[in-house]
Amino acid sequence: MKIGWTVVLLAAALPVNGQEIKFPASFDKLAEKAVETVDVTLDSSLLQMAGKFLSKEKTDEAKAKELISGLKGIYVRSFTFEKEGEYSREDVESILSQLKSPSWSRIVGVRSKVKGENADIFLKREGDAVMGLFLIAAEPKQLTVVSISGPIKPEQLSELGGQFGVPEVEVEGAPKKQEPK
Amino acid sequence: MSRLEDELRQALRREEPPAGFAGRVAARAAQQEEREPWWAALVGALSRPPWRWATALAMCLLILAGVTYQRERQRRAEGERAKEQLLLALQITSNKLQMAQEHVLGLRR
Repeated sequence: MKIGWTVVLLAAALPVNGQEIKFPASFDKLAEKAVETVDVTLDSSLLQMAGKFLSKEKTDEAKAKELISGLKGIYVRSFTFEKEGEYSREDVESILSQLKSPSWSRIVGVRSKVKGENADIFLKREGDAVMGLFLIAAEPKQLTVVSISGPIKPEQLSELGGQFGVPEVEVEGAPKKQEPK
Repeated sequence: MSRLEDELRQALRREEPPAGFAGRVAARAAQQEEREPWWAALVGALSRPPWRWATALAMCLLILAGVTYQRERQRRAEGERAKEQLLLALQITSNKLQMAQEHVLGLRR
């Protein structure tokens, strides 16, 4: 019986569909409160499928195609609320607690008391390689969580500057982009 | 009376129809009215030995083509949906990275 429960608990602790960071159950309640919810779950098979439909001619899509090659999954939850204070610090903490393992390191932490905008960006490192990105943006009326699982070249984030509006994020170890002369 | 008249009378004499003649005429008329429709005639023709296997093969190919077309349509729809979701995910990610970077660079307070 004990072995049975152990198996059940271990199974529950394993990532769902390769998703490393599990979104808490409280997100379902947030979705009910939100006026707008974005729920994107793309595992490796769906990413591969999406990749086949991305055009090589369109710059945005070509960059996206390159970015997703080798990725295990992209998971996004974004909740937009009508009023402020609809989500709690606990909702955010329950996710951040999963990022305390040594493989995850926070590369950006933003706290803005004026605008009430907080953002944290984490990278998962395995040796020199970046194997995952996690982003949480907590704004007064919006909570957004992005989890990208799989190998990401830091320079890809820089290359995406101007694509989809992605800025050039300077990451330790990433070669700096040459300024056009 | 001349011999010619006798011959004519003999040739044109009234004769009774053979037994069952009226019934056979009525049955043939009814059969004409109940003629099978064209498609039934076609099915009948195609189910005759030389055409039977060709018809079965054609039907199988037609069904296979239909199933393949439907699957391809479904696969394309799923692929397009996955692509839209991916682009949306990247757009959201970029917006939030942009926000973080603006804070880091002091462009947004």
